[in-house]
Amino acid sequence: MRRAVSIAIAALACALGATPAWAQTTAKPTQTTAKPAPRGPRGYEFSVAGTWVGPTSFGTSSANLLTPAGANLTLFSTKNDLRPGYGFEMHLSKRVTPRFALEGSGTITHATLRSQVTVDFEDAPDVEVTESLNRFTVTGAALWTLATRGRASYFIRGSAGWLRELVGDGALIEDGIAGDAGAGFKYMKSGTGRRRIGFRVEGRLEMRHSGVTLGEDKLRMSPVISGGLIIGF
Amino acid sequence: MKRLLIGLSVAAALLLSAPALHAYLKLGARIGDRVITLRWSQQPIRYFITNRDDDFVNADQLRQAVGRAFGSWNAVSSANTSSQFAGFTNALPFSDDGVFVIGFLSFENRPDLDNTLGATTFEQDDVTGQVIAADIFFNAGFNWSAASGGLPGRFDLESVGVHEIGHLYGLGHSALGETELVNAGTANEGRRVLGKRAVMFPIAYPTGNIEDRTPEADDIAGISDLYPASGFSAQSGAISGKVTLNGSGVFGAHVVAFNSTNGAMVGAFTLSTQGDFAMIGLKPGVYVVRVEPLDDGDIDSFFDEDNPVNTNFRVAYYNKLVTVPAGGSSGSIEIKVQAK
Repeated sequence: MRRAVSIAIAALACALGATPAWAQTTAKPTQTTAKPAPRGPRGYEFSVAGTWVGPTSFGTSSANLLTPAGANLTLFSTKNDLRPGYGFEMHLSKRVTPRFALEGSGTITHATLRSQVTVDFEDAPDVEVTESLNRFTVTGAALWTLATRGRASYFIRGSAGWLRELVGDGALIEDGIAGDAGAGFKYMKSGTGRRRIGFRVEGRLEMRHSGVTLGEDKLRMSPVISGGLIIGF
Repeated sequence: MKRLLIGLSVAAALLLSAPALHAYLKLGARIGDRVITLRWSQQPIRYFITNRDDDFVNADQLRQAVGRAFGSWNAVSSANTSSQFAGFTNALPFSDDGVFVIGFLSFENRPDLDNTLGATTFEQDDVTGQVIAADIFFNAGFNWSAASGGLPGRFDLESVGVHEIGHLYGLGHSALGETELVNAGTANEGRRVLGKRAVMFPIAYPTGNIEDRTPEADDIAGISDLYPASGFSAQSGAISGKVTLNGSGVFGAHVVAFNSTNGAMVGAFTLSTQGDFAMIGLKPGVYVVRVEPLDDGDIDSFFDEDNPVNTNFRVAYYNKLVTVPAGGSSGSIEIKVQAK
């Protein structure tokens, strides 16, 4: 397991670099007894999945006045987060070696930005204010098959790419960097002719930087779960 | 020509009830039935310094402090302002001479100015509203300091200078601060600053404090609105809307937009009986919007006495986050408030 992870990370690093180093060497099977994951005859897979994105905390932020002594006098405080969202994602992957595949992925998710306003200096009641957010990501990913059991296979995956977030019906557009790392499970049923179908379930830890934020602009993380259909061809 | 005196005060405790005051985010002068925004059409603004020493600050120290105060505004990258020291003069501020003079003044028989640290006056064309000249005075009845770190027991000349020069450029008073009444019901009744976040707040920090030397986000939005640098309009956004109470507009409500990403606050007032407001010069982003009654300073220091300022409502928040796009507006929002 440890070796497989290190190879997957190396492959991801190569995929991000200017030169596709993976293409310059002949991929060799690693020391394992597992069989290659079943795919379509040409090594392609296309998958469509529903996605759930967990909450992302943006921390707290206060509207501070400055006292004569140089201290903060809080007019009100906000606790900010991105509420759990949902959407769908698509992946097109190409097998490079029996275990290693590259993917191009796109996701569209919808969630809600939220600020909980508290401790108003003039005792206004606490309020919760929100706005909808739509996120689009385009990423490149490396996928490594850890093991295959019959029609099922287990994989780990890492990605990096670009994100765009739209708030307020697209009034505000912010771009940023997105990436994730996770693991999943695929099950391919027998297909007819040149196609195979199956399903794919995975869990990831999503990382993002920039884009729309409520609070300090820094690396944010949230869990992602997705599940959907695969067509192998 | 008609001389329009606009008394804009920074007071230690109690504010001057200023005559003919038209203080919005931008100052305006009433010419006939019009209110014309006060704005210098030609720059650099050339000013003279009165060649008279104060008890604690001499004329050259005043020149240096005023130069640094101008520099604080002129350094705002999103605004185009400039100034030039024209020399020392024997003329005093507040004299109708068509020359811009900054200096100390003593007031022997003006008890209404006892608590006024400084003020700015304008001389305007009564037809076009164009600014012809202006004066700034610092009240010699107070103890002043021009020391780089301030001095205990003395008001910081540079800080008060930044405030007055904000008026000079056309900014009115900001309400971005909280105060409390002191000596209520006595002859010495006044207000004490608990906290503020704008150089243009009408009440100064106490002696020894130098925090008002640097314009804050609210000040920067205002000066950038008046004298926008290239690209400012395209790079900033606006929030507009109205404040209503039982379906009717609220005049004189103070609306504050808070950007939780950088902690910046920018304020504006509702300026019509329909409760309309517009807040511009905002960094694109997502904002929490709060509205409060104008209860932390004399209303006279913000609006004419004949304006129907409503302070009888509770603090409230707009019920959504407000999105500010670059080069655009949030679209009109309505903030509903309830009576106290």
